[in-house]
Amino acid sequence: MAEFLSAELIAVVVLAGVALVAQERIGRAAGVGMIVLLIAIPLVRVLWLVVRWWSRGDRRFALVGGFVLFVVAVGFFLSH
Amino acid sequence: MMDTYYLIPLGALTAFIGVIGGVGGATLLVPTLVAFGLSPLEAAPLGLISVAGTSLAASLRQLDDGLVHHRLGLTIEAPAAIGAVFGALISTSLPAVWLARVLGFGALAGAIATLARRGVRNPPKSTFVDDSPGEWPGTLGGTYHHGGQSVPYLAKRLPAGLTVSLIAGTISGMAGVGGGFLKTPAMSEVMKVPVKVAAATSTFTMGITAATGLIVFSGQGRLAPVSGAAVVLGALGGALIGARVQSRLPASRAKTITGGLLALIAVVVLVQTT
Repeated sequence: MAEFLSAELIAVVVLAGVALVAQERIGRAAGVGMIVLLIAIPLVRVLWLVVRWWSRGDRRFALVGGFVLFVVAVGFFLSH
Repeated sequence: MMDTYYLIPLGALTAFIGVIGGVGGATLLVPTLVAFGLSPLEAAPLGLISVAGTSLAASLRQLDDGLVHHRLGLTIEAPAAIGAVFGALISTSLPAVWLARVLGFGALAGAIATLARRGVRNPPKSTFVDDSPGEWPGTLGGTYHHGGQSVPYLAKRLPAGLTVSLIAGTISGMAGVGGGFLKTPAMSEVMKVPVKVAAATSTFTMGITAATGLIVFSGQGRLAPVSGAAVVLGALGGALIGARVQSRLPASRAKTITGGLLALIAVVVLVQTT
């Protein structure tokens, strides 16, 4: 997980830099990509924990994590 | 809209001070942007982008230290995520002056929480010396290392902690601040979790709350990607330097500086709304 987070942090910094220095369309695309990463990273981390806990028999907390992801999904559908 | 490049030093400065004082950068950034004339509806997404960036940066170090209690984090995040969705959804229906007041009172609560915060509560126990730091599977307890010894802990008063977390999430979704100024004291003072574990776990949960709020903001068309990039670059730099300075600065002075600044910004924002 630490290696995944390190790689994602570097990607966020690179995309943020491109968003600031690149031409309008490319810059905006890089900015959108940066925001998508910032949203996806914590949710992937939660999903990883849910799968890990479920497979190890810690189902109560796996369900709690699953509920958090469900709330996020509800937020997406209500706002789009 | 404020010039994008001014957001880099502003993001850096607020993250620097926020990390030193342990409240996170957005608690300072968003009220400052509003005090400078940005609408609360525009400032909130920038605040959550800053929160998401600094949460990611901080999580690397905290994972290595074994301080994050993921089970406790996701347990208190469940009501926070509900609050974040609710807060973000209703924020567009509320008058800007109400949002600014929520922000002002949030900053005031942050100032009080910062100035009133206490140090390490749980004593080390020699019977736990050989335990590796981390969480105990299937429970809201664990151990962490302090002064060469292991400190055991078990979260208490869960309903009270969940209630505070719901309030923190709602403020986060409405105003774009991280909510750590409520979550961390709730875990350490109400749930009796060690301060360091509470702070690290709070940082982990703030990334999820920010992602939840940003998803709703994206559906509302409120995200400004290039301005967000400027805030992230500034916030990451400021948080990095702030973390280094924090280890050298006496805790009491850091608390006084951050608490004082938060109180000042709270007064400025609240005066603007009268």
